[in-house]
Amino acid sequence: MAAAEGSDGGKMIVLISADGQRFELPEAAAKLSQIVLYMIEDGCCYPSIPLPKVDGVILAKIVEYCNKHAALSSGADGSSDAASERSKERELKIFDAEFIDVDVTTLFDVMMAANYLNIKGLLDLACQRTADLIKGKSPEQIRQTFGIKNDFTPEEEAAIRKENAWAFDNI
Amino acid sequence: MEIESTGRGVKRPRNDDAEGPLRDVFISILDLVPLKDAVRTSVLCRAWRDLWRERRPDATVIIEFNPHNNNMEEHLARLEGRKRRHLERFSLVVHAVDKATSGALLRRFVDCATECSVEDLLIDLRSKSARYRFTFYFPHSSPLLASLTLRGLNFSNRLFRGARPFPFLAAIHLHSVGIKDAVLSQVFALCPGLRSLELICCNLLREITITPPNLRRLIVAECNCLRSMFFAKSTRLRSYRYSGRPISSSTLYGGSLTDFYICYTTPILGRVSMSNEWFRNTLPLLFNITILTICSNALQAVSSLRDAGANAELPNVGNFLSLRELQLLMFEMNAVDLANIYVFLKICHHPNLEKLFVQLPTIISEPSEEDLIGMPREEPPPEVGLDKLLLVKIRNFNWGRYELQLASFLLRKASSMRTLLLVAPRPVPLNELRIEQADIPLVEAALMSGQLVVVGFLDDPLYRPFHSKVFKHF
Repeated sequence: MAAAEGSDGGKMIVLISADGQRFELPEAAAKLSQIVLYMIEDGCCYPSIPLPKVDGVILAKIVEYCNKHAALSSGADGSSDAASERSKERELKIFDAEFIDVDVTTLFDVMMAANYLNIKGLLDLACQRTADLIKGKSPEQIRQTFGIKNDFTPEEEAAIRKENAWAFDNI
Repeated sequence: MEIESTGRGVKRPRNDDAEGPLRDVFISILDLVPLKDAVRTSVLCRAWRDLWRERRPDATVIIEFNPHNNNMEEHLARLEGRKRRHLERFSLVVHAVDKATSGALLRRFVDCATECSVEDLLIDLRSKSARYRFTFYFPHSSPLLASLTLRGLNFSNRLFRGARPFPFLAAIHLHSVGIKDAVLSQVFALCPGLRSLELICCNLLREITITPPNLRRLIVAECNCLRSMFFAKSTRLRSYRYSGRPISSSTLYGGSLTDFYICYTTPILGRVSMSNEWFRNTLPLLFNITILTICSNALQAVSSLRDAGANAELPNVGNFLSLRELQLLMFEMNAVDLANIYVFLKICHHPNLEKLFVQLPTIISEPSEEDLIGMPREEPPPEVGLDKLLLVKIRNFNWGRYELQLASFLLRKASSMRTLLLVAPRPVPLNELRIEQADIPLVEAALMSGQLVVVGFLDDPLYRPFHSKVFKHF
C-alpha cells in the first residue's frame, strides 16, 4: 500500500527491509533517498519498495532520520522568519549529534545503508563521525575500534611505516 | 578474510570493504581527517594501504567573489594548480566587480572548473555589471556535469556546432537567466537524461517546447515574456508547477502527474476560449495527482467551463480521484471568487480530499458593484465531496464577508473536519463580525469545541502545504 494516505493526509510510502519488516513514512521523508526518489518518480513504488540490502534495525534508524529531517526542512510557509530557521537548524544539529552517537557496528551499517540509498546528509553525517573516531588514534587503536584484521607481515608494516615515518611520530 | 556476524544478519566492517562499493566512502572519510591521520591508515591492512593517496580534500570549491578581497588571484592560482584533478562541486558567487575585474577573469574560474571535469556547477552573478561582462556557452561545460545551477547571467547565442551530449546532466536550474528559445532547445537536445528543470524569471523566453524524454520535475515561474509552452508527446512529468501570465500550452499528458501547481498571476483576458480548452482537455487527465495548487484566475477558467456547458450537464469536469491536498491561491475574495470556489468543488470530483489550504490576499480589494448591491450569488453546492476533509487552513484571514461565508460553508459541509485554522493577522471580537445570523451558533459551537482555531501567526510543518513555495507574493 505504498500510496496510502497517512494520518495527516500526506502520501505515504512503504519500505520493506531485508528481513521483511514494513516501514511506512511520508513521501517527503522517503524522497530524501535519491534512489527512492527516482523510484517514486518512475512510478516503481507500488505496492511497496523492497530494500534487500538493509535490515530492519537499520532501516528503522534511517526512517527516523528521514522523518525528522523532512519535518524540519526549510521551505517554510512564507511566514517563517530567520530566527525560526535558526532554531530549526539548531534542533537538527542536536538531533544529528544524538542520532549518530552509536556503536561502531551500527555506525558502519548506517553508513552502508546511507550509501546504498544515496541519502547525502546521512552519509556525510556518518562519514564525519567515522573521521572523528579515526583522528588522533594509532593504527592499532583504529584496528581495535573498527575490528580490522592486520594482514601485513611485521616486515611489510615496518617498511610502510618507514616510507612515511613523519606520520608515525609520537603515536 | 573473516565475516563477523552481528546477530542481525548484517556483515560487520571487513578489510576488503575498502576495495568494494564503500571504497569511495572510505576515501571521503579520509578527506575529513588531517593528512597525518590519513597516512597512518596505510598500515591498517592491505586494502587500506594506498587509499589515503586518493584523498580529495578539496573536491568542493566555493568562491565568493568580491574585488575588495585581494586573494582572488590566489584562489585562481590554487584552482589552476589542481592540474585538472576532478572537482565534485564548484560554486562561484560574484557579489561585486570593479573596473579591473574583466569578464576574462571570471571566465578563467569557470574554465578551470570545466577542466577539472566538475559535476555540480553553480554560478551566481549578483552584480549586474558582472552580467554584462560574462556570457555562458553551454557546450563548453564539463562532460561529467550532473547538475547546473545558474543565476543572473546570460547564455551566449552562438549555435552549438558539433557539441557533445551531456549524458549525466540530470538537473538544470536557471534563475534570472538570459536564454533564448533556440538556445534552450539546443540545450535540451544535448541532455537526454534531464530529470529536473527550473526556469524562473527567464525573461527572454517566448515560445518553448519541452522535449527531454526523462523529465520528471518542471517548474516554470515568472518568465514574463513567455507566450506559449508545448510538451513533446513523450513527456511524462510527475511534478509540474507553472506560475506566471496565462500562456498557450499543449495538453499535458496528465496520467503521470502527482503534483500540479498552476497560478496565473494576471486574469485571463482575451484568451478565455483557449485556456478553457486547455482546462477542458487537461483536468480529466489528472486522476493521479495527490496535490493541487490552483489560483483564483485559473479557477475562473475552470468555472467558466460550467457556464459554457450550462445546457449540457457537466457533472465531472475534473477527475481528482487521488487528490489529498488542495491549495487555493486567491488574489481576490469577492462574490465571484467565492462562487468560483463553489463551482470548482461542484464540478471537479475529489472524493479523497483531506487537506485544504486557502491563501487570501493581503490587499483587500474595493467591494465590487455586485458585492454592494447584493447580486444573486452562487449557492453553496449541496454535495461537494468533503467527507474526508480533516484539516483546513486559511491564511491571511481578514474577516471579510465572503471569507466568513467560506468558513461557515466548510463548518457545515465538512463532516469529518477536525481543525479549521484561521491565520488572522488582525484580531476581531466575535460580536463585531458580519456573520450571517443563521451561522452564529455554528461558529460559536466550533470555537467552543476547538474545531475552529484562530491564530495570529503559525509556522508549524504539520500545517504547511506541500507547495509551500509560492512564486507570486501575496
